[in-house]
Amino acid sequence: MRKTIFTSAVLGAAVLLAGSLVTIPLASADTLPDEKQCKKAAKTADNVIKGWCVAITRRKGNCLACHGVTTKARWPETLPPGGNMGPPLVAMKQRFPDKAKLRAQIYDATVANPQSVMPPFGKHKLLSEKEIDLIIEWLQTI
Amino acid sequence: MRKTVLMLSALALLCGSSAMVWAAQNPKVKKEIAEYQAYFKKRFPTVSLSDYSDGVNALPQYAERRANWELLMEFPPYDTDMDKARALWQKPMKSGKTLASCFDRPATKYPYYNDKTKEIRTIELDLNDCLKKNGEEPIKNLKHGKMAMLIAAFREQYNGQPWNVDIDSPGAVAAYEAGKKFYWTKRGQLNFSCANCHVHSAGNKLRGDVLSAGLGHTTGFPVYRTKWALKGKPWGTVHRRYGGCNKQVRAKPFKPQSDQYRALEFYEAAINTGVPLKVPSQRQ
Repeated sequence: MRKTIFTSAVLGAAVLLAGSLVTIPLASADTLPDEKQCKKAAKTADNVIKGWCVAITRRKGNCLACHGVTTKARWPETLPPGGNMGPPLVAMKQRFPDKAKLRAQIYDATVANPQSVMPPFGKHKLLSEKEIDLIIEWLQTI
Repeated sequence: MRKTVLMLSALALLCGSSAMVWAAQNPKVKKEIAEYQAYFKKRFPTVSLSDYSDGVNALPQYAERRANWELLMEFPPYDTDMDKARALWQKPMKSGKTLASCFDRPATKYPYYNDKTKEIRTIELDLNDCLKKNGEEPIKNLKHGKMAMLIAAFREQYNGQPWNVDIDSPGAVAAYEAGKKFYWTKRGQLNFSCANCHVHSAGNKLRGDVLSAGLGHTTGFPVYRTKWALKGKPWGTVHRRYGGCNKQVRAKPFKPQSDQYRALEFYEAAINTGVPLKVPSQRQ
């Protein structure tokens, strides 16, 4: 009896260990940086992550204030979900096959729709030209 | 039985409305107010006109957090301050008179357009005039502290009574129009009008926060805010809040009691015709 308990405990531990070995590295590699981590990541990361960082940073794009976003990579635990004042950011590549059109929306959405409440990020210099390009690179991936 | 109750309440309602002196309103203004309120009736069908006194707490989208607010309201954080404010309201000034002696107009009729001086008069302006007239120093800070608390002591006496400002003279209509223009004009680097958030997007979420409805705005002012309490100045007048809103859209705020903010306050009072006062209010 005692032996059985011991064996199952060892077995259980082994399963747990194997499980953690599999999941832990995946989680850390696949999780997007949160706003704080972005401060460091913004220097070394690729353009897609840089774009994500511009999008989520409050003093930058602050896109999540109004838009909900579904990402393929894991959402950082410390980052609250987006709002719903604007439409959710999904299937952006399919919805905006023309990058120029997407850029124009971010630059000044009131051109295409005067009723739009989206801040004109380019026209009012809320973001630089480069930062808008980075956001577009990220948007192409979701 | 139910029928009798229904008939009785209908009768009470009739008597009530005939006894109440309804606001004198220019027909165009009256129509616009009805349209504004109908929009919210359609957007939030379960929320009644008087529910809007509770601000964002009235919205179904805020239901989860309303429970917290209700718990807080069992022992409101503003109680001690309100006791002080009521005492101050009743304290004789140097002339021997109290502040109440200057206010024969009910709080439900503020702000109003003064045809003689050709301006919008707010409680703040009349209160400071009253202090001066009775040998006291006027209150300098029009955003927080004593001024806000005294206004709360005055306005709370009319709690439950529907707001009811007069907009009939040409001057009053012009002030209403100026306030309306302010309300619907985009401003600031972020390019938001008051209406963009509090009409078009009322009930929607900005990250985790729910945008309040424009209907009901200012019926609970002065406000006791948790955010401001953390900075040691929990009380705020309407114009303190307007300044904060303007800063949030990255626009330069106007001064408290400026023509712009008084016109906006008048317009907000107008579109809230019929919503009962509920003062003071606690908000996050």
